[in-house]
Amino acid sequence: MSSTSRTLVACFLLGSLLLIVVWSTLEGGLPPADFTFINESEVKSVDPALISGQPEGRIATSIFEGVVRNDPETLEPIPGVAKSWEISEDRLVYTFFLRDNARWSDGLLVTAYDFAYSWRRFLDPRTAAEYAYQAWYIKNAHDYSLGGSGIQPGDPVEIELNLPPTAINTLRGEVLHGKLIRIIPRRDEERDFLVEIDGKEITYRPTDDSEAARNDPPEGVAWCRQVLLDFREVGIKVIDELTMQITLENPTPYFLGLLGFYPLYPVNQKCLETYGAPQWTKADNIVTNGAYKIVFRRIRDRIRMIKSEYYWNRENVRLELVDALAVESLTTALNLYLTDKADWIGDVPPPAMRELIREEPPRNDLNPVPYLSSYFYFVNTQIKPLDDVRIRRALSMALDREEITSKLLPAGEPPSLSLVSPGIENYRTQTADAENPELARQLFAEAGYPEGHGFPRLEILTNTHEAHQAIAELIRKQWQRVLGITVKTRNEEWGAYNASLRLGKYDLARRGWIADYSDPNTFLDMFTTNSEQNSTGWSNAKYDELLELAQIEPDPDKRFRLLEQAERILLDELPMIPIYTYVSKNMVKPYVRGFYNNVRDDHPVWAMWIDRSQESPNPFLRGRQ
Amino acid sequence: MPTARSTEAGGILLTPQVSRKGMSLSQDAWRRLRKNRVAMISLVAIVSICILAFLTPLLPLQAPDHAQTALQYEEPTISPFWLPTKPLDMELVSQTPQVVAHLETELTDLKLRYELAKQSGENLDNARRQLRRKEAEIQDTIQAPYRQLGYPSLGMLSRAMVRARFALFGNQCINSLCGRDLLGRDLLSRLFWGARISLLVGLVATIVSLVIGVNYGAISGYCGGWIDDAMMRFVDVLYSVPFIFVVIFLLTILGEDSIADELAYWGINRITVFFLVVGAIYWLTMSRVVRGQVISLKHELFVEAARSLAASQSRIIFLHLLPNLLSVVLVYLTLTIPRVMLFEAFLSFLGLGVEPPDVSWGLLANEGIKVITPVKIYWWLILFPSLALGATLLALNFLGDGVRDALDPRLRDA
Amino acid sequence: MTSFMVRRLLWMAITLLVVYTVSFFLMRSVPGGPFDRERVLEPEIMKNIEKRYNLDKPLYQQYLIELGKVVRGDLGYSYKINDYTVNEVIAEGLPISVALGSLALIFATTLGLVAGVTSAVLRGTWGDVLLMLIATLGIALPNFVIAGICIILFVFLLPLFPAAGWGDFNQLVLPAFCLGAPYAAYIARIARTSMLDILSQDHIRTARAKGVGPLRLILVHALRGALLPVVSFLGPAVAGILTGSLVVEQIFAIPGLGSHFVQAALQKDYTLAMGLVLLYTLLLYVMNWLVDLSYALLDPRVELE
Repeated sequence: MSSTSRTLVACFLLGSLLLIVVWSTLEGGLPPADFTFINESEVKSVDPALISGQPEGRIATSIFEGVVRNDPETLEPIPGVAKSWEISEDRLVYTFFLRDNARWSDGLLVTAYDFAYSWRRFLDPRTAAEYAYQAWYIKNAHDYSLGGSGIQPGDPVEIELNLPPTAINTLRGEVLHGKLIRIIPRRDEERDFLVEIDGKEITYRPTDDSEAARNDPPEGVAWCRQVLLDFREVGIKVIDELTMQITLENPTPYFLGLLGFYPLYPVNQKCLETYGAPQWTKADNIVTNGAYKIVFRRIRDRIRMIKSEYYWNRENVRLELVDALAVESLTTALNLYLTDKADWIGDVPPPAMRELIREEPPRNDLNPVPYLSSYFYFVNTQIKPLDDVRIRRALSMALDREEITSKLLPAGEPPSLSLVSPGIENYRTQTADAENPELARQLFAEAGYPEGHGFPRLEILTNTHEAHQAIAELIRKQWQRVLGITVKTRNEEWGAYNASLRLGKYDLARRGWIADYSDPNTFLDMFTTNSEQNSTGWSNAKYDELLELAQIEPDPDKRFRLLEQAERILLDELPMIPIYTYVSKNMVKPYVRGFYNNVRDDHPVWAMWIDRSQESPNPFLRGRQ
Repeated sequence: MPTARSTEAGGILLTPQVSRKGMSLSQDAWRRLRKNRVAMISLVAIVSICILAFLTPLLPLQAPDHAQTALQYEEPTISPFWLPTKPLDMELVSQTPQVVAHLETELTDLKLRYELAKQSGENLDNARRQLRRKEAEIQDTIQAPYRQLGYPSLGMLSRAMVRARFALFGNQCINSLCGRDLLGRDLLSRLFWGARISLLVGLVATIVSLVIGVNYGAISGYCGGWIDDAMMRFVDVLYSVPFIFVVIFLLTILGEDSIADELAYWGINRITVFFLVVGAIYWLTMSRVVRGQVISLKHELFVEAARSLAASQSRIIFLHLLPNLLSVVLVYLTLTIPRVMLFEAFLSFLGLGVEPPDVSWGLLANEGIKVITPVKIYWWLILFPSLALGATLLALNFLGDGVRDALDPRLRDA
Repeated sequence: MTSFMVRRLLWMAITLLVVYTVSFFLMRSVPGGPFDRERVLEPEIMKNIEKRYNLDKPLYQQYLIELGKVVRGDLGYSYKINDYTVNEVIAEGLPISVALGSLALIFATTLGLVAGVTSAVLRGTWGDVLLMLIATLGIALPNFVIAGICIILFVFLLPLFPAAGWGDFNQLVLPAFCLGAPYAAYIARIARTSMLDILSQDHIRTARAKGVGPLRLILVHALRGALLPVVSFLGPAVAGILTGSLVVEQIFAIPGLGSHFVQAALQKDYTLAMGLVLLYTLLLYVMNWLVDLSYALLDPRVELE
């Protein structure tokens, strides 16, 4: 008897205890945000130098601001931290005049020194920024970011000395300047550097701080963190607090646009050096210079941003509180949007898109349009039989792109036969051979594989994503059908997939490219022999030469003709098989204004506002068929 | 039915007196089970599902991986009942042995070269790659006529059955009674082919765990003393390991490209890993229960008798004790298979289950869930897979309850 | 009692050590590491990083160094999310998962008990059959299917709850229900069986003969006895709910440990995944231990060995 009543009491107690636990963890305190958007996956970081994806970009563009901004509609560069600039006659020297009211979120002025600090850090090999090549247009920046490999005997160099291992990890060691005499190779690709400083010759050996603190260096050698090109050689000069001068390697017509792209946003030196990485990125510590600042971040939940009271243009920022939700599943995102818990989603699950796009009357919150982007397959030209151009052309001709886009891509993605997607003014689109199963089979027979006999098994590599896998699956079937060959598909998670590409461990691999700036070069320079993006092993001297000529060509028209010739070569040789052009798939509530379709599917939050009266038609819907 | 037959087989090994008792026990249980209407219906359902799954290649269904994007998301249709399908390329099938024989000679050649490379250590990677390529080519050649039609990789028996199917039914196949999916594949045939994998996964993984669990428990219980102590302690420790996490961790690590490549060379694919890992998890409870049974059994007369006849220890364990554990084992079997099938569905949801072009019910249910959006519900894609999975698991659960009640009402709370 | 506790602690330490060791060596057997970038790094930089993280030392030394850190409670940095340490991820996710699990447990026990008792009382009627069918179906369907159906029903057809997210109580109801459903089904079946047992026992018959009302009879006399088997199922239920949250948190976009673990495993964020495996081992151990302890408190006949 007593034991059972004890049971009951205990159960009741346990139950109420659990309820208390539930209540205590719910904040209930978070007020609803003015504007909520779905930011897809959890951001890797909020440090603009270390990121590369679109979700990260949306956050970085909200909380930081570059020298220029990109206009939300046209994406043309408009003044940002710089209020104006001058470009020299030869288009090599840019002088920026910063505004005197651009402030960090701690109230201090954003100066030219901040940019010099941030860009040096961005280029520093120790930062290992993925996007470092975005700054290589600046004079000597490439050599600087190559560290020990970017210097030759005779070059002026700087030597960064070690700090104690306990020092804040963002601090730079003492920097000495000298002249490189010789590079002395050691085992395992390691090198010593013989440097002359003030007439004295010293051999420096790069090592880690912990080793430098523990062990004395061997006889005749001094420890250092790294030896690199003297930063004073790099084309970044601070004239005074509010003026800086950038010198480029070549006249680069799209350089201003790049400055509005997140890798070149400034970071706050004091904040970094007080807290160290990654502590400085915490909501409590971070100091930013953009329209918003982070107030709250919960991993895989949300980043909550509030309008910064020190932002120079705060009168024109109209959303007070913004939530970026990290929701991975497209279906969940759509559910949130349809139940009014989110105001903007960037992607829609394909089965739902099929229905949404056919709705009558047409929806007032959906307007997919193509943008500057390309979806294609890399072909590994270094393995047999893909080294044979006939095979590559046959593979391309055997594809029924129309079937792929009409069946698997419901948002109206146009099939594509070129790398540079249409939409760049004055650039004439080049195309590869159109679908032709007959000719494809004939080419296969010529190459020695009549009806696919004896053709080795090919493998299509994709990164793990439903849509990519479905397309690969259909392409597999098309090739099987037309050419009679066996094709397999394999998918890998993003990191592993990138590693496989880099190491050339694939036959065919899907790749997408979204323009970083509105110029054909962003697509074409991917396939030069030295490009880090070129994993196909394809190399063509004429192609490289054309791109180099285009680099130094000041006349925009002539430049485009050169680039057109280059793309022609590429599409004849086909180290990549074009498939389709992406379209933007945003769904935006009709009351959201300041949201425009543009050629890069880039939508800064600072430009948006909410207008519930909805008197005028939403510009987002402009141009809809 | 399996219950009775296997018990009898066990009974013969026992001493006459006990075997008679055993038989009467099992007959008794069988009689009780037959009275349980729900359990009997479940039993019939499960047996028919198993038979159908086994005979799938023989049935006049469409090929499970045959994409017809023109028919994307077609709703279930019943008329016309029969559809024409592409015929099997018999000429290609008959040519295959010749081509394969030719390739085999090349393969032996490559194997020789690989062995040489292994000794000299030069060009090892290259030799191995060539060897694997050739092996893949042989497989491709054998599968080619079937793959053209949209069949996944088939075993020898299944190939024969597919050939028989075309001989029997010609080019006729049943229309898509359950609708079609994104790529226009027939859901009905995918359900049937999925049944094969799902049931196989459930059965094999359970049997693996059974073999481990029964042996472990029997040895522990029979040996007693410090061995028993140590072995049971080990089980206790394993109980606290969050196995689902470990399995996911393992599957992702073993799925890493280079490792998967190496494993594939040894003929181990993800399903095999799954069998082993799941088998390695679910034996814990089994071993505990079996140990308890063994401890109570080992003092029974017939064991004493066997011991006095100087039978060896292993003979006593494996021939005398194990057969008497059948009731526990059966109950456990019917209750574990559904759990394993659910676990496979769970892994499919995370994308760690079977890999296309193979299908399982879990994979199908997951594909169905993915296309559920408030905008449009392709109800057939979620309804039929869940129905298949749900009905089978329901039947297994009811049967499990029935068997437990029939064999030993005292086990009810086990 | 004390020796019981000490022994338990010892075994826990051993378990954790085994789990840690196995995952450490598995992790290190995988090619690639935390510093795989899309960019090719300078050899000096690569070497420096390797030295910094002791990757240049022999494997056993790395193992010992890392073990030392883990023992001190430092699980290191996440491979994939630069701004967080594993400890921070756990600190954010654990309360969320605990809250979700607690509510699911409450759902499971109350719904299960009510259904089980009702079913036993209505024995043999259609109500009984229906309830038991639903209960068995709850066990037989994968919970991502249950969740999908619930979303369609209770978010869109009957807009009662939000579709996903975390923050207020409303957002918690649906996921907790989906998480608790299979266990409610189990509990219903157990409660029904034990209730039927008790209803047929002598003292209930006596009570009934004495004229005790049916409601009082069930609630006071029978329910008490039916509770113990249910309580003994709570151990496995808690373990199941802990791990079942993997799926439910995914579907409802809840930032708990389940989501973190699944994402970490799929993105090969091995440090985070390993940290979570260790944490779950610990949790499971503590849970089992608490359940054992509560038996002893509830039922004086049980003695701790």
